[in-house]
Amino acid sequence: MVVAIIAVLSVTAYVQFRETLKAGVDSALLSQTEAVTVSMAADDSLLEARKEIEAFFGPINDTKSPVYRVWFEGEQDDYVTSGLQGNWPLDWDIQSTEAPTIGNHKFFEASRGEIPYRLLWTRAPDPRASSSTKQPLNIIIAVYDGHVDTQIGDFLRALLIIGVVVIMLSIGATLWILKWGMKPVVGITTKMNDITGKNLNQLSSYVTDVPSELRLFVRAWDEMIERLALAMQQQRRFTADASHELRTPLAIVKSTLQTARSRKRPSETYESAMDQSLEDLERLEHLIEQLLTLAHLDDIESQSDWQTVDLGNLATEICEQYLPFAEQKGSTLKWQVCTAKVSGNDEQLRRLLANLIDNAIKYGPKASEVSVSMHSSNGLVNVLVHDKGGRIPTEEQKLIFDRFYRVRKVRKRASSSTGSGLGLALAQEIAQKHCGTITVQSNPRTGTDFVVTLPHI
Amino acid sequence: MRVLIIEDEARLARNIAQVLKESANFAVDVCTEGVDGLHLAKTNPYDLIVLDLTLPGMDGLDILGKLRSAGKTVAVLILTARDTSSDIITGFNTGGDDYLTKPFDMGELVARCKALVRRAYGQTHPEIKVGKLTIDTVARRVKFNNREIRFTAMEYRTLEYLGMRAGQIVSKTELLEHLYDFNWERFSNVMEVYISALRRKLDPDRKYDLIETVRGQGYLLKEK
Repeated sequence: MVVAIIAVLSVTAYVQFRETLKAGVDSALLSQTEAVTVSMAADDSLLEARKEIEAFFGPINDTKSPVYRVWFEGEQDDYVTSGLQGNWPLDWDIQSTEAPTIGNHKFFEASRGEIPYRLLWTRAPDPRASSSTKQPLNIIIAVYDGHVDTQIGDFLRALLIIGVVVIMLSIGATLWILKWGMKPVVGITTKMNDITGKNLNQLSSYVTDVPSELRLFVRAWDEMIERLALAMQQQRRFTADASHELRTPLAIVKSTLQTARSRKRPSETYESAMDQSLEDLERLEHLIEQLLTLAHLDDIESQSDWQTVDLGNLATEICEQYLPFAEQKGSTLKWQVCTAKVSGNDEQLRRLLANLIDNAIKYGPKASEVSVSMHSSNGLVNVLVHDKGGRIPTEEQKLIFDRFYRVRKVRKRASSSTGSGLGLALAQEIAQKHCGTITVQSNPRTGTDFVVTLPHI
Repeated sequence: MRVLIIEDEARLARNIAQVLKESANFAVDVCTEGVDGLHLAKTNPYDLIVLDLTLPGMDGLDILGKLRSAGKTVAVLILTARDTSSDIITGFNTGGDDYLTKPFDMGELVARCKALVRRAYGQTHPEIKVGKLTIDTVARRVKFNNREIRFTAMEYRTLEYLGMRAGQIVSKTELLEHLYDFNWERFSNVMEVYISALRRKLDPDRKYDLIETVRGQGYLLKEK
């Protein structure tokens, strides 16, 4: 790019310079012709005019001195001449020999042997006052113009040297500036190499003295690291929670069976050990199923198994299914649904609604009412699951959708846990997979509402 | 030997307690909550604590740290689902003596518990030899003068404790504290009944004064 610009500039400068030099030669030729004409007009005497012209041109020293020829048409001999022999310029290598019309002049390029000349041929009416014949006057002046090319050559050489030097200097300067400018970037890059999943440090914690241009970059990077660290932390916590939740029931089952087996015991002991183990295995089975569903939701982006699902029908089916469970708790389950078609995975949507209804019955107060209602507007379907349950503190409302949140909370409070702590996390992920949301509102007077919002089709 | 199990899964704790009673003849206390667990561990001279880490009330590592800060030297076996090497290292560095991850093998747990208790009393051989008396702590068999003697569980527990501390005077309170869990009604004269039963079974002819009564201080199992 830089080279191209320099090349264009050089060519332009060359052409311009050459034109200027040529114009200089031409104007010199014109003024010389003018001088000759003036001398001819002023002095009637041939001798005087000759002297004047010879004085004007000076002595002819070498091939580079100008040569001239002045003659009147119809006269045998030249009127004034620089003394060059031969019928020049006609015997020179000349581009054309066509004479200018009277009162005009014409420039020619010519060369005598190897020597380049610029010629001006002027045809003018007879300037002599005393002349009776009035023959047109021809003036040819030829000047050596090889110096134009020599000068241009010098100029080009100089231009080339300067150009190369400038290019070298600018490359050097650019490299130096780049290196100098990249120094903080290189420093930061080295630090970035230290950042790993286990060592998610922020750049600003060990890159001090960041140049102002890079401050925004470092800040953006640090914000990214923060988000990654949060995600990693959540992932780690999830893994730790999941492994605890998987291992504990396994440990219980194993210990129960090994304890029973460690010596001979009455058959009732074996039976009770087996019953307990089955119960624990069911808990484990439920947990594994939920974990697998979560993993499945995490992995598969595809909507290939989506179909049109009527949420109203789905809600009715689930409510009918949960009716005995509600009655068992002495509660009532009411539902009021409408037809609302959404696009999605039938099984996942079923799980989403079932989890919410199951929670409402399980954690709502005994002998109270759980209601499911639906309405659709603005292309969205809202499903509301309401129970008269106590207040979920505002600061906890976001956290309840965290995987294993309930488990952690229950662990802290030392009450017995019946849930896996994954139900709401699953519900939220399913809603999000279906381009929807799930929100909770809880207040001691009215109870708790979970609202699922999904796009209508 | 008396063990405290701090484990929030009640059924698991119960199973461990049962096996430690049956297979190791330990006196076992169970606690399913962190704060109470720390209190029990601080106020009773346990020979071993089996400690879960994920506990309600107080985290197991906090309990361990506080116990060590309070100068308690009791052996602690950490029993947890946390299985990464950084968890294990933290467990040991907080003051744990052993680390077992869930799910675990009951037999292994019992063997580890026995080894920890043995080491706590400066014993390395599973067989305790005191003069002509041999106590095989694995098979729980006692031989005196090459004659095998059968004891009840409580008698054996008493003799094993005296054997672990052979050559030292053991007070009646110490015996009570190390041989009974906290559900037991403690009457000090119960110890005298066991000691006399031990003496009678070991040495029916009263030829050796194997277990000496040090007046006002306690009992001494003599090394010679």
